[in-house]
Amino acid sequence: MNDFAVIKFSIVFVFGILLLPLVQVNILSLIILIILLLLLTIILKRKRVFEKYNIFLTVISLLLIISLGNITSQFSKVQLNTFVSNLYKEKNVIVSGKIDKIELEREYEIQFLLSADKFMVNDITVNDKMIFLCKLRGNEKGRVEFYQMMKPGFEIELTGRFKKGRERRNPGEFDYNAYLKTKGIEGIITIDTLTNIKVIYESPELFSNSIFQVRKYINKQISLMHNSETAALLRGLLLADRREIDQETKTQFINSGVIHVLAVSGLHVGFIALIFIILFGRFNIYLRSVLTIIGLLLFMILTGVPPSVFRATVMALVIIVAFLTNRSTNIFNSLAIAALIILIINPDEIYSPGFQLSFSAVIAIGVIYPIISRVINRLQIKSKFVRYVLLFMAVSFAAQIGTMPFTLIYFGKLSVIALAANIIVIPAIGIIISLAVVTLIIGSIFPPIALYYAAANDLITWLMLNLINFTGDLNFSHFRIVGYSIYDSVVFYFFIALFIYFIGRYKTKLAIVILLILTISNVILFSFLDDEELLPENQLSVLMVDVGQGDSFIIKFPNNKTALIDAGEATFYFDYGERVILPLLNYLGIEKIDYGFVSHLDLDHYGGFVALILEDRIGEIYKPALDTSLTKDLKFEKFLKNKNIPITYYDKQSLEIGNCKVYILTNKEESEFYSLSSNNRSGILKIVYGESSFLFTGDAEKRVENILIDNYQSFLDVDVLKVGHHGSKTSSYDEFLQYTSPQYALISAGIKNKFGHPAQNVISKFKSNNVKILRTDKNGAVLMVSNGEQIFAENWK
Amino acid sequence: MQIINGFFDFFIPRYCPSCKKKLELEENCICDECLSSIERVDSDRLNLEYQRKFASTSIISGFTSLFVFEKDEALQLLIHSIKYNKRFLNAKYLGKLIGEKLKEQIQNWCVDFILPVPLHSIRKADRGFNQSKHITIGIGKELGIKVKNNLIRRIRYTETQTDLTLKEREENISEAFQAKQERMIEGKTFLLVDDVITTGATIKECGKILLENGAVKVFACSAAIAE
Repeated sequence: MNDFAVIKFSIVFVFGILLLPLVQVNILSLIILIILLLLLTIILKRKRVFEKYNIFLTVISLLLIISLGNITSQFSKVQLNTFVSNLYKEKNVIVSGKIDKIELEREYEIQFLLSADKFMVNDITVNDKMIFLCKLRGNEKGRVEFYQMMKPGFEIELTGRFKKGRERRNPGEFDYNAYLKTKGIEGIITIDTLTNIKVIYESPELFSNSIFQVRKYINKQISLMHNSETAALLRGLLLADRREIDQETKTQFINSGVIHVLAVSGLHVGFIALIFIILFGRFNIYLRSVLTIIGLLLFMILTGVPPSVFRATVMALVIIVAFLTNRSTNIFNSLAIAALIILIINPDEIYSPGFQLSFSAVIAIGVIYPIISRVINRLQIKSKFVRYVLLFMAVSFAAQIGTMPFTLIYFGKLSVIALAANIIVIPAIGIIISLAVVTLIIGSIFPPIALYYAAANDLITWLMLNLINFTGDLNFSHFRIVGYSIYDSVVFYFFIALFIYFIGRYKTKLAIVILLILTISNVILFSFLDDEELLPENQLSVLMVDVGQGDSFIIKFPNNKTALIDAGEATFYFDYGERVILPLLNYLGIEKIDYGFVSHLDLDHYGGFVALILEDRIGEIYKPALDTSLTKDLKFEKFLKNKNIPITYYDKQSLEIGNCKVYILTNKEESEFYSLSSNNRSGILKIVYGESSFLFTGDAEKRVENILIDNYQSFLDVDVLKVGHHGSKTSSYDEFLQYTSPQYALISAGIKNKFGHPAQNVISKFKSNNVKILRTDKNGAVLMVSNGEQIFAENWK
Repeated sequence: MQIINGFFDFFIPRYCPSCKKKLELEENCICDECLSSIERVDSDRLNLEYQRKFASTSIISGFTSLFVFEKDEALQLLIHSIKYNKRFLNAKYLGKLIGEKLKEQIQNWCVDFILPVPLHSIRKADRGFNQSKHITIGIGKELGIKVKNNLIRRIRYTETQTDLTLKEREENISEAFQAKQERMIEGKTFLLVDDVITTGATIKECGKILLENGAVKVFACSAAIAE
């Protein structure tokens, strides 16, 4: 009864896809191979060879399916336009094409996908099929007008700024550009005003426009009836649009181990299916089934078809079809069909977190849940309620075991209270979804009554979010797991599989306990084998973080204390503290920065600190003496005082950290100090570890360079110099270079930045002195490690 | 059609509910081997059963059945697949078999309508369908006789009858049914269908209601008879 052909097929097919990055065979030879294999099969079948030697059939099928997987994967590789995908940043580009999809409106922008056929930049015209992610910003009136009038299918011409998606510039960073590429998107175009969009032809596409209009309508209803917190959550649950749920809430969901409910998944499809089954229960078999199928498909389309919803919908459809056609399926068979369909459409999905989490959860539920439920049933618990709660926990536990490696890789946290939190959160989500559906249906007929349901939903959501905030805040709720690798995942799954195999053979209690201990200890032991920290212990590491046009350095001292010099820029659209440094700290396993150094009060240096302080990741702050003429300085200090962060002003001091010395060379008693510009008040830091030394100069310019030379002379001699002011020509004068005489020059500057940093003549100065230049705009993040004698530039990639 | 079936079989296969082997393309619901292994009711046995179950009261005018029900045999597994694995199409297939094999006998009775023994709404909600109804549909389709579903209704929820004696069953089932559309019943001849007939108590009770409401004659038929 367990002979499901498609399961085997899918497994081998997946193998074929995974093989692609390792084995590159060209498409033509693969096609020839497939044809030959098919011919061989026919001949051997005629000769009745298979009847005698079954192994031949197996081998041929294996080869055939692997080739199919491989070839599907190759065919799906989107060919990006070579010219456009090599551009980085261009100001005035003109693009024309058809609107594919318009996202729901946000407070400050509207995103849409454009299928372009023409791209113009600097008098160069590219005629090719390309997809762009477009963002309309600018004034609200224009955005509202666009949102009301534009429809998917319209042909438009627009003028905007082109930018490539952010690549992996720092260790452990999400490669947004690679992600866009798997979707066939060349890059991002930002449009500043509606007048830069011209409609060429008003030709709405019936299907995609209907979806857009319904999504828009539901979104509007949700916003009208609920408070903003509930609305953001419902948008995530019903429309799979989680952008409005704030980062802090998401973090609490991760800590509590319930982040999976925010991704529309099988759980939600299950709830929706349940609603339909109850609604249509009185109809006859066929009508009931057809209505449920239609309902599920509609829900899938409305959510924008993320892989988890697609998976769950396909599984539900397979079960219904099996029921209607007198066929047999089981959880694995339905799952295999879902996987096959998703992967044929887009093989790259296998690398997407949504796919991996969703499928690993279901596989684990299929494999592990029956084992636990057998144990629970053997306990012969009298109370039905207790038994059901235990069985429910078993499902949740199984899913958590299955998804654990992926959770650890993507979120870096292991939640310990997930089991308890899920018992409450999952039913709560069920109630919230049902109430939301009822509110929507009644709301479109008789809004006043719907308001009562909406209010009830606000209340339940409020309770649930508070509970999650509470559990997420508990100190013991979760712990950070750093550097969980693919190797660790393989070890984990291998020992879990062994455990399941042996538990089927030895059934005594003692055996189970021994097996459990063996499994856990092996997983832990083997997971430690490959652990090698990026920032090694007992050495001094300086990581120049790529924060675009700005500065940020993470320093780890030999005694594991950490410092952060500057934290990059924070604007309304992109906060480097939140989006780059915070994930990087998580990746590096740095819970708290002991010493925060704000070089000076320019946004590209101190901006990112705010998000880090809000997350309680900074111990204390060193900064230039308060400049009362600067409002932002006053504001920043007020903020620090509110958050109880100790402040120290730069003033000729030295700190002993581990075996390192940190000298602060700034002298605020200097008569000149208060006449200096903000840049020139930058804290000057020299870090010495044994024989090696680093000098950080913030944005200090010529005037400060001269002051430093006057005061410190030969003490300025270092091995690594952080080049002042991003390599601007206002700094790094000849005399200063002679005094510092570095081996390495670190330059932090944005790619194609508008200031032209670093200046060409600065670069040539360093070059002529045989200084090795390391730049973030060229290299991404740069890691320097010193053992006290020598300094190495490490390759983190 | 075969190609489509083969295609479907690859993704969502069909298994014989009895021997659990994959069904061949031309096989339907149950594999040929298992089907031929099920014991058919011969006419002597049928007469005997009629005498035992129905002759004492003159409610059921004629009775026929296709198989003999035995524990742990192919037929039990087939019926279980209908009841517990929600294989409603297997019920329809049973009906088709009845129609094919007992064609002459049933046609001789000249019935106007066939109707299934109704299921209580709670049990129907639980199972999702009434298995006897689908057997009835199978017979009706095969023989071209009209199927009526809603002439009688089960108004009392009764416990499962598996462990009861004949006497207890008769008590258990009495007054469990009610006629719904009396006008449709008057002057007509009916064939009542159930999946398995053990004592005949249930089907007699249904027949009684039909006769009380003016039916001319009531015949009975089942997929199987059990001891």
